[in-house]
Amino acid sequence: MLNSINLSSKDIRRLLQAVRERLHLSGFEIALIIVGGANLNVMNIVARTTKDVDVIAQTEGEGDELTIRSPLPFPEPLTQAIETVARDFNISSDWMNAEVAAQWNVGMPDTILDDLTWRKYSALKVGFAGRQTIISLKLFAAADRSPASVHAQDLVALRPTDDELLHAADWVKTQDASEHFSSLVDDVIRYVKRDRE
Amino acid sequence: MLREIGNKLKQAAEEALIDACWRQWIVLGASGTEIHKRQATSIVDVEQLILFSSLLRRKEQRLELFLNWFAVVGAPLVSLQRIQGLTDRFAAEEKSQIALFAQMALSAGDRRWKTIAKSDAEIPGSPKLKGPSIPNLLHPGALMLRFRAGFGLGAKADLMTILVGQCGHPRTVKHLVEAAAYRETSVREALRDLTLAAFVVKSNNRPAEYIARSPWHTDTTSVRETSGSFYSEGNAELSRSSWKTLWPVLSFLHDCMTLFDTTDSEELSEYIFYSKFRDVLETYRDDLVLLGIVLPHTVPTNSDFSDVWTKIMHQSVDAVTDWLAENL
Repeated sequence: MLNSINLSSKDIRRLLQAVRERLHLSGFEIALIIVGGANLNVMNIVARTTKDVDVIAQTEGEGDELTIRSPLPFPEPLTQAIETVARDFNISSDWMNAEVAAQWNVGMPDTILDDLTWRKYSALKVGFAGRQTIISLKLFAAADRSPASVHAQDLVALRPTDDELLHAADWVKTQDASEHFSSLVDDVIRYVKRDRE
Repeated sequence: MLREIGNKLKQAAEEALIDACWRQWIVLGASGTEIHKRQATSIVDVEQLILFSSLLRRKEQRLELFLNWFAVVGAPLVSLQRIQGLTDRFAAEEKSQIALFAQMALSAGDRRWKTIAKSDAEIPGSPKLKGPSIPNLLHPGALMLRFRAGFGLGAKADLMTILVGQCGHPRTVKHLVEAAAYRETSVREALRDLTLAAFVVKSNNRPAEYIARSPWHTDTTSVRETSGSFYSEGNAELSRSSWKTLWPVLSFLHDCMTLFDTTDSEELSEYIFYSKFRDVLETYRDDLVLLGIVLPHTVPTNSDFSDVWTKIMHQSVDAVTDWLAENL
């Protein structure tokens, strides 16, 4: 069985596969975008365990027609599938959640639809956010918490280029107009530049 | 591998269900003692018996003959309202299985069954009746039919059956609603009348409890003091009638059978196979535990998922079939 505190890449894939199978049973299909530790793990960007799978958006359509919206509230079949999988694997029912979707209230990175890596689990289509989106969200999270947080560590592990950090900083600073926040962002960037080598 | 596990468990569930039906039909007088000598010792819930026999008739043809016999000799003692209430808990395809009994009963002259009978239902050609011309109402296990024959179909006769079958244990309205499968308002109204007529004593505690009392007992003793009095005045035969709420047991086995049937015809993944079994187990777990059935724990483990769940499935089905064999 899995440990809800430490989900490995293998665990996450297994859980997503289980959700797919439960959704398939109920004849429901959905496409979601995942960010956070689960994203880093499955994409082999950072080899660390995570406690949950963060859903930031629900998508509709494909290619040029692709649109996104807040995943909240989760559609009932998805909620049921998540809860059933939690029951079956004996993990917390919030193992897959959309807390990060609060970002919709203040604005999403403009790169959210760029470089998505799709994994199709039949009835469940999962888009893993692209590199620039991850860097932007991680920079925001690190500035919001502390330069020593796990988010800053993830950012270091991502080894972002100066251009990527600059692009991310432009967006992050729109999230909070205060001077204090702007200086926190700069602190994180300095920390990352120092430790990324 | 899944198919093998599924087939084995399906067979165990199916055999237990068929055996339970057989043992109850024999109580009512159906011919079959030469094959199954053990009769049920608990009171037969005739609507459940008809329902599960209808669902199993394709697996065991003799159940169809028993149904046909009873449709001819006992249909007037069957509650249409109750059987419809019970079938509502099943999927549409399963619900339709009751149409055959309804058609048989209609053919035998009971017009009440017209609403759910299907004229295209395949009644076995020239059925040979598998029992006497009237059901055996004097068997302790036939108490439900006996009360109905005496007092008419309805909640009052059924509640008396259930309360007498509690062997002196008082029961709450909630318990009686679940056991009787009538609406709560019907149960409350029937209990009010039965209490007024002193067939039943109501306790003063909350929630109120009810107990059957001897109709020849005239003082106004409390529920606790009355306990057992129904049996202390020479009603030795009635004292052998005990009511067991079999619905969760039979439904659990039926749902298992249906699930394990799908492993034979559909390509279920290992995960879905176990997950759907878990669905079934969790649906009935509380009711089964209340009956005293000891089910395996589903605690986290570091062992392989499939090994753990295969064991849990076997233990669960074994626990329920063993309980049924001992308690029916």
